[in-house]
Amino acid sequence: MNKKPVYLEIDFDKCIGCRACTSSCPNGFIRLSETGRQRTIVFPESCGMDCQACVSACPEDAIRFARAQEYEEVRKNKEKQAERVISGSSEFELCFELVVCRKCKRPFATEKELKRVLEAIDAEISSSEYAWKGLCPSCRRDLLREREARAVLRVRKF
Amino acid sequence: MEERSLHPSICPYCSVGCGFYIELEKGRPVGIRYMPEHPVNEGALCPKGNAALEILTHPERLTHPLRKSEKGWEKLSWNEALDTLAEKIREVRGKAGPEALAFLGSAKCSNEENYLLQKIARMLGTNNVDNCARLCHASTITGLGKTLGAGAMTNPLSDLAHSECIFVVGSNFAENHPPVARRVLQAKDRGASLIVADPRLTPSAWLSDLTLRLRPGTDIALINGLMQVILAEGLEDRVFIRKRTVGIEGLEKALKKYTPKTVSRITGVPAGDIIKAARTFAKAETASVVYSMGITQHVSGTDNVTACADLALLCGHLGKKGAGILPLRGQNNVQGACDMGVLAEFFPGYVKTDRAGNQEWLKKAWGLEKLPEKKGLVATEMVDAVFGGSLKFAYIMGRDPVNSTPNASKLKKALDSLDFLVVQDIFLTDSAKHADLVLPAAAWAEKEGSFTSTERRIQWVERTLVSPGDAKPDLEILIELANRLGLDATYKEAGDVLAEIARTVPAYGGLSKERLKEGCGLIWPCPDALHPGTPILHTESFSTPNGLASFVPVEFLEPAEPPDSDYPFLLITGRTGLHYNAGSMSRRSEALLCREPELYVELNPADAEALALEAGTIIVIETRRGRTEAKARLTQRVDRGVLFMPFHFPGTNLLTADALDRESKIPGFKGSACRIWRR
Amino acid sequence: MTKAVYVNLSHCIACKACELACEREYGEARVRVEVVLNGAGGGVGVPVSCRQCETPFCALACPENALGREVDGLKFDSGLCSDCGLCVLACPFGAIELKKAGGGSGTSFLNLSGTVVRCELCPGKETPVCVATCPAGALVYTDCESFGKNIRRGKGKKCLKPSPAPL
Repeated sequence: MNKKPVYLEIDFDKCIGCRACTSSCPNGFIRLSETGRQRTIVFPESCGMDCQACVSACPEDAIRFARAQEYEEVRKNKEKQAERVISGSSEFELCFELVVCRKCKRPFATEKELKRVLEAIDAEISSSEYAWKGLCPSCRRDLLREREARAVLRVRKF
Repeated sequence: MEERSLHPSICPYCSVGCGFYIELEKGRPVGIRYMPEHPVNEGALCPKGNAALEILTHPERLTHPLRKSEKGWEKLSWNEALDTLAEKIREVRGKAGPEALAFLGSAKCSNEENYLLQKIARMLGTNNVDNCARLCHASTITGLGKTLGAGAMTNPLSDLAHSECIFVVGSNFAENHPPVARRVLQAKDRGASLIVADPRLTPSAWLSDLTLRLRPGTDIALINGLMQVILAEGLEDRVFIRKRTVGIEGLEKALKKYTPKTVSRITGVPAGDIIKAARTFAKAETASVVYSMGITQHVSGTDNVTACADLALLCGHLGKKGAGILPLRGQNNVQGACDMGVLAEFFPGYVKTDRAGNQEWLKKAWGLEKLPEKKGLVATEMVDAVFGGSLKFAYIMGRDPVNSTPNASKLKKALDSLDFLVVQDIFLTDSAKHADLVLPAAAWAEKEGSFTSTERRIQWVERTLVSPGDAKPDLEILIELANRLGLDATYKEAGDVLAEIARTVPAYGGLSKERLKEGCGLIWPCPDALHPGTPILHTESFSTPNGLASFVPVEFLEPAEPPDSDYPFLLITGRTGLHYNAGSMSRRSEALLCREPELYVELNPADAEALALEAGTIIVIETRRGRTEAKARLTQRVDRGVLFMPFHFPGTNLLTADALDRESKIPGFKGSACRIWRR
Repeated sequence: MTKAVYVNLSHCIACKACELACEREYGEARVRVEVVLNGAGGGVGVPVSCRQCETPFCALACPENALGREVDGLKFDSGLCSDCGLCVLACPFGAIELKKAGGGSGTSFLNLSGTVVRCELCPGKETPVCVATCPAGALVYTDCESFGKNIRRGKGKKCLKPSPAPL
């Protein structure tokens, strides 16, 4: 079956660098990798499969499947915004700097991901200086443990 | 979904004897289901229990008999292997006599297998049989034997929940026997006091109401101190002492000098805490003494155990629900291996080999004309016998002495000096690597047989799985060997051996395969087919000839190898929750290994600072016997001057001392002087 | 009443049996135990798993409504989950993790679930495996009220509702 190529258009301002598109692509065409403090998402220029799983998975509606006649426009936008159009191949990358945990210093999320999460829970948080701010999940567990342990440890003095 | 079936089984790791179901799909183990109806563990399982299936399908399982040749390991058929072995045994016996043979039983194997192993040895004419109890609780047999008349736990574990006071000394039950913690905590929920005496602040100590942090090796002084306070304050149980014991006068006299002040100076425990502990223990209506290898693995092991027995006797804390002495044994069948007479000095049922008349009894039972008269060599004496030239052949069943025996370099040399070494195991252990012949054995769920837990509960384990390759149940191997040696071994299955055990060992008299399969086991003594078993020992009288228990006073002696200017630190060893003994199983279990991947040494941060060592530094630990490397963990859990290392990884027992307790011949693992430096 | 796994911290022996049981059952552990030490040699094991919050931040952050609060607990619809990972970042307790995916290819389009690793209280089982296996009896599967009654005040008590600033 000869499928028409459909061009992927990413709204780079909207994309928060989460894992939804990568994880949802049944063919693994969208790849996510992390090196040091950088997360890179590699998109194909076009996709022969018309499942649009990534489109529906994207929490920010940042992915669009463009029609063939829109190609020129898509390409221009991409060249303007993509971090790197991989030369010689039909892929392009988007890079995100990762925020490091303030305790263990390990990178764990993009700034935009954290911002989006904060917006979602904002109404439930009374102060902007909550204790787990800036901590990675593992250090949040440790923080919880320390707090929970306090009462028991008070009597375990030797 | 495929049809899945559940098969009851007993955990192969420690001596608690927890039950659970193995879930099978197409004959393969796919999961574990808990068994809330089991009286011992109420369904609970520790991390090792949860990982118990992992070793069964491990790629390193032995699948064929192997012979060491110049080209490496060479595969053999069972016929070749057993013919070679029988030939070798005949040859050594013919040339050097039966005393040149040694047989080491396995506390991981069933009662039936151990019984047959020692029978083969004795039919061949030697008492050189022993099991790893020599390294863990030999001193329990001697110490409780001479005071109470029986070297076993007096009450079931569930009884702990009914104690008003639990005195734990030298046992880290929370990590090493986790289901015991369940009972201790049940008691605490009912208002009981927990007193933990340990040089190290273990997770067990964390649970305690009173922690006595004594200097390593000063247990006798501490226990004598407790007894001195009890007597001085008149808290002893006079009625119990008068009616059921002898020898209180001697004890009273010996204890006089152990005043709280003196004991505090020796042990480092505040005098006030000693008094408080003594009062709490004595005043409780029911109290239990729980101990383990922190008591037994000393040059004074027998005396340490004796002191524990004296303490319980003094307050009448024996022979009733919630009151007793609970030595927590190590392996799943170490109690059974001892009961079966896999001990150099005992025939089955703790019948002394060197006492007149006992020979005749066993000759009659086994239909033999001759039995070895000479007392056999215990495992810890065998090493010197090899160097002396009198021991030439050893048969090791399910045991890894290279990693479990103190002064391991010396032991390795001894293994290499043997004319012939055969090792029967499920993996090519560090010990098996020294063997001439390796026999692949079936693992725990791949064979049937009975196992005796630390609380004397005998439980039947079914054959649920098929062994990999040619691996065979140990019992089958032994039967085939016995037949090749011309010995009478006409057993068709484990049930037949158990029937013979029942005829030979009075405490096992009422057991049969059918009876054991019915419920969750029986607790010995179970003398006849209608007897319900005896969960609590010594209720009416003690197991001594006159029925009375004896107070045996013991004196504190300074530890054998105190730190000095050359070796300024004192090394103690022990177990961690995620590993097991020599580690031949737990280090092959991914879920356990990934959480505790390497050897470490605990040291006090103040000591580390003085030596400019940081957490995570690889440090060298050296004793007079050897040297090993381990990663430093800085923790207040050990006192200044004390180091702790687990013994699950190769290396630790290169360091430990092989000096022996006079009576039980257990090595003094705990307390080796050492020095350390940054690698 | 919502049932959850509660911890009686004074009973936890830090053995990690719960972790191993969960890992054995589901391939990866949804409960994590570590010891907290007090600098005086004392310690306590603290297991952390999903607390079945009354106001679940993870659900607020979920763009697909895969996580949601229902009368009898916090429910997760794996079919809706897109594995974006935002719930992981929203949980104040670090109780949600992402399963390390074995790469995109080979993943069936219809089977996107299983990537969010979070305690779901062992659906289909009467008692969660961590509770059943706990040798010390420190883990209890019950509701907040009964748990509070059985525990001395303040000891190891775990609040059901994370306050706006939970920690």
